[in-house]
Amino acid sequence: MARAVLRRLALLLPTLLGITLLTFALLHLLPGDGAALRFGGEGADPGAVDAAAFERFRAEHLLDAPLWRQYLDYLGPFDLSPRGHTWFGGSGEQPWGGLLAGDLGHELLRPSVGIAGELAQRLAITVPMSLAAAALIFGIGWPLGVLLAVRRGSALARALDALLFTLYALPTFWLAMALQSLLGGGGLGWLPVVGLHGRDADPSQPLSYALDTLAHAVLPLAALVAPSLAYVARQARSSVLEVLDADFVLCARARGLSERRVLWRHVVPNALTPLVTLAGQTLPWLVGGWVVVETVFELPGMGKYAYDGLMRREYGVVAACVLLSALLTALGHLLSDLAQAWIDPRVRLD
Amino acid sequence: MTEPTHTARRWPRTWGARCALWTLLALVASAVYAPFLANGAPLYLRAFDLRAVRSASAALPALAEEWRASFAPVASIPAEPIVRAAARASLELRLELLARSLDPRSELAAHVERTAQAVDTLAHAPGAAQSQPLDPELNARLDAAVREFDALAQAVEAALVGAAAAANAANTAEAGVLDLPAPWRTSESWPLLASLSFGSWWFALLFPLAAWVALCGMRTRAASLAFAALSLAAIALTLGLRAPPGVATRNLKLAIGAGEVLVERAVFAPVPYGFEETRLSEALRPPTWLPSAELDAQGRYVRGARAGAAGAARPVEVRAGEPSLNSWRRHLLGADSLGRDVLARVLWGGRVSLGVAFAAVLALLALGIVAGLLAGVSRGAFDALFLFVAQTLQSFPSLFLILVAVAALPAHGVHPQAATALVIAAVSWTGVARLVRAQVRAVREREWVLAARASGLSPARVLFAHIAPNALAPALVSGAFALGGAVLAESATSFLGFGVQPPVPSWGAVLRESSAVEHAWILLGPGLLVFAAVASANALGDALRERLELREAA
Amino acid sequence: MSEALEVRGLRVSYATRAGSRGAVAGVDLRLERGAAHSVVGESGCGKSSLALALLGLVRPGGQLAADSYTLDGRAWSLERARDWSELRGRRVGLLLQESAQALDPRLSVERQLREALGAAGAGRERSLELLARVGFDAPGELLARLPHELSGGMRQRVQLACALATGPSYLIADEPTASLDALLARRILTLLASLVERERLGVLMVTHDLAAAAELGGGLSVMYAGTVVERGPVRELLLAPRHPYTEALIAACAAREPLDEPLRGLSGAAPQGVLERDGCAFAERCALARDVCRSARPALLTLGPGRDLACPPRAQGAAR
Repeated sequence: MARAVLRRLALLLPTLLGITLLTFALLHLLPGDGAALRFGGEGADPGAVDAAAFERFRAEHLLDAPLWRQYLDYLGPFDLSPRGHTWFGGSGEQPWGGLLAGDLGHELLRPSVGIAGELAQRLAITVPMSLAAAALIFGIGWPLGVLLAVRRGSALARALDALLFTLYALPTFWLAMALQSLLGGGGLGWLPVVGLHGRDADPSQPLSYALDTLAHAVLPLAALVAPSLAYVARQARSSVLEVLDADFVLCARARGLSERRVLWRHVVPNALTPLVTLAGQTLPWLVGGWVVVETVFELPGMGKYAYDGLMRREYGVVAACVLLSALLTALGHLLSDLAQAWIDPRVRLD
Repeated sequence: MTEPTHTARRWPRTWGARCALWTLLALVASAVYAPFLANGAPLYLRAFDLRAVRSASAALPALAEEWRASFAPVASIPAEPIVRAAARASLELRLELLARSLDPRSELAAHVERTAQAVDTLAHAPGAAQSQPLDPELNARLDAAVREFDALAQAVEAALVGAAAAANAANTAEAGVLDLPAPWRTSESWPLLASLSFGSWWFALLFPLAAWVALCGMRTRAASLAFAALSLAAIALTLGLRAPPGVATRNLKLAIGAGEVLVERAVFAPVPYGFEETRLSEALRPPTWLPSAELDAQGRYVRGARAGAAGAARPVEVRAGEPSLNSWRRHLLGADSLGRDVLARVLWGGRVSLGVAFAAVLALLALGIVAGLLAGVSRGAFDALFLFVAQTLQSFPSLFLILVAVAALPAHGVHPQAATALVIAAVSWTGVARLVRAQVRAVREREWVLAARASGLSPARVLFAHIAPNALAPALVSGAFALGGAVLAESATSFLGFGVQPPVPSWGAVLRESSAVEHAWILLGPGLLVFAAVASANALGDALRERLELREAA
Repeated sequence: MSEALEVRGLRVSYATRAGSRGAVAGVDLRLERGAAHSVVGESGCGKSSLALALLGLVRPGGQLAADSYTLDGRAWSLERARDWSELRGRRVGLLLQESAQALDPRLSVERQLREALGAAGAGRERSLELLARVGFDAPGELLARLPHELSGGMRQRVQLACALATGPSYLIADEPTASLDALLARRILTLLASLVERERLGVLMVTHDLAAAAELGGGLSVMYAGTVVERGPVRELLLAPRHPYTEALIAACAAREPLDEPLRGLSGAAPQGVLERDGCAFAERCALARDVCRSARPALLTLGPGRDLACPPRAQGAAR
């Protein structure tokens, strides 16, 4: 088993490489010159730019170098700029750089801010929310799907089915805005709708702070979770229904096992395998869906960071966010593959 | 051991799926016929266009003066024949341009045409090019032409006065017949139809055919013939109904309001607003069937949260063809922050949202099926490459990728909507490809395929005639669900500000307007439509999948 | 006290969009311990529904009812779930057609057996014993294997072991040989026959294969459109059938005349489920059909010990 895991990790490398390649390509397709942005933004007076500083900036950031050189510099671990590693003609002041050295660059409009550091802060918000969302989606979705399958045809199942069908078709951003309007300040006013903490939230009082954070998190989580929940529940239902009709289930019933035992010992374990694959597939959505929700609710997380970066043409930020989410997702896929192999002995890892 | 073939489509039997199909057809219809349903230009107009007369009357006296000067020996004009000829040529050109800018069916144009012909004859008369004094007969004819020209200018002025008087009497409403002085009379035109492009006509004519085929089915030959006939009709309509160049068809509403077009009868579209027609005095007005939308004559809200707001009031301009200020029909879904009618924008927005979604689905099906087929039949390198690419792409959160790519591509000259469609397809094709690949792999070892190969058929034929049809069915199911996903992706993208450039509307872009709670009603219209589109696509996907399963179980 | 499973007036129907459709229309059945009985018919005649109904199981949308259900002298109620859970497994077992889904794909053979043995299954001893009972020579090697690693015949026998694990006195087998080749089918049938003989198991086999029924021995019931049309000892029935349908069935399966004579089929098709009209369901395809056949459903008359027939024209002939 351990060997298979190691092999899987090794196979992950080409995918990771592919991810960096694609991110780099996107970075270069985006319009706007980094140097022009840094030295005056849009519509600045070109004559006011210090030509020497402009040139230096361009050279330092390899903006005129051939693409392969730029990519290698981006990837790291060697820094290929004029101040970089001596092996590549640099002065040796900063030999290391690029992704493999953990360097994600600096913001163009705020050069003192390192993207990696800022991203870490943002992740501290997005990651727990994603985990909470995943817990809700699968924690509610799977059992709901089992319920719908077992009680198919009943009034409850039909009502739930209609509700889930509706939720599945609602756009996340619409739901976010509707919740904001309905339950927020101008509407019923039950829950706060902006940011993650109230203005007078006091970190020194952990309990009320936690409650306040929770209150702020309810609506964003609801907006993100609802459509995915519907999708997962419907998939779970069809997966369980498929297993329910199988012969071995009939045999188990014929042996006198109670319905409950049949369900939990035979049906659900067999229905889990496709659901674990499903969990792997919803990962990118969990990471990417935050862009919309964080923007609407103004949460300072990774999604909003990426969106702001895109609007302000801070492509380094966008690239870092895209890269990170892709990485997390690839890892998530690996975990779900491993989980699947562990659950279902028919699946072999090679 | 017979080979199951993919039968001709029969209809989904559950009422849910039929409902879904009808809903989707209705949505597509609303998008295809949006120019007919919501348009600022009138469908039919019987009016007298004063604008042409005014521009002619401004141009003619000046032309008359120059004309006269070119023939009279005046010290200021050089004597060289070439210069004179050039001066005359330029006059003729301007006369011609003036003639072209007028509606060819009007009397004004006829006048100008006659004058131009007279000018032409005289200019080519012998002796006209020289500077020496012309022979008296020629001179007399020249004088006559000049007088006619002058008279034309004066007649135009008189007509203007007369028509203005008539306009005052008739109040620029479609009240009865306008009493215009002879020989002036109103002309008929179809401005809305003239403004349609070939694409609009083509879709408008072909949609009923497509709907018929979808609902009742049709023989291929009959369908092809109908397709060809309707396409030709679309070309004919585009060319035939196009307004003559120079005839102003835009901003007719404003012209009518300003009294520059005297209307005898005008028929407007049901929603008489263009999607980019702004009106700041009605910015963010709630749906007019709500009591809180009532405005008084000064443009101030009478009740509700915005009543008694301080600040300068802006009286609302009620333009031609529109319901009155507080009519319940005025803005059925309200107006956005620039005063544009939301219903009009939502109807036109459907063209973008649904267009992008359908284009994306077609592209992703094409790409996914081809890639899946190739990966399914290949035994090594291509398959490995495919898996690598698919895995890499599937690791990216799709919305992220879409946003980034849609922000990037238009800068390289790609049309924003095409970019959105392409990127949505590029991000989602892997699912379909994997499905097709799995099906092909399952099917290629089945008996009938082996039989086909054993009988000596070439691999390509085996692929297309035997493997592909049976492997494609799940791809179609996938396509139905992908349609819903594409609509959601496009609206999310335009909601965030990418993918459509203002003023082009799309459902997501309209939703962007509702930033504050008081304007939450903007959520209703586009939200309902997006929901309807996605829900029906999903329901159709479910129905297709059920039929697929039944067929496989049989 | 008779040791038998007896059911009277068993009816199974399914709710479809067009209303209720009958699958089994009032069948009486008696299965004795230590005896084998086969139920034969084409697909759609209701034999599968009958088999499952004996365990109180119906496919989704189905409803079952019976006038009486007696097992080993005791009457069982069809409505009480507790009765069924006592009956299933412990008194009556089920063996299904071999398929990829007949055994839980995730569990190894050992775990399948332990699951079947339930709380009473202590240790590997019982599992090995069961496997030996169903004819495995080296059961130890089998315990760790997964179902997809076994051949069809082996899976079928493991299924049988699971069915026997709960200690039933009667076994219902629904098409147990349908997806096995001739050799494996014969092995299973021999195994079943030996269980009937050695352990006094009462086996009811539902099949479309007359040859399998002949192999198993014991009694034979022929079903058509949800009712039993003829019943009797299998050898006697095959050699001297009385019902026209039985004759046609036999003629279609095997030629007794010279081998180059083609198999004779019957025109038309067997109805799916019970026909909603009076009279014999076979009448429209029967050469002997008379008015009495079309007016009322023929009752199953006893012609002799263990020999029943539901065919008025032939019954009259026999009586004379």
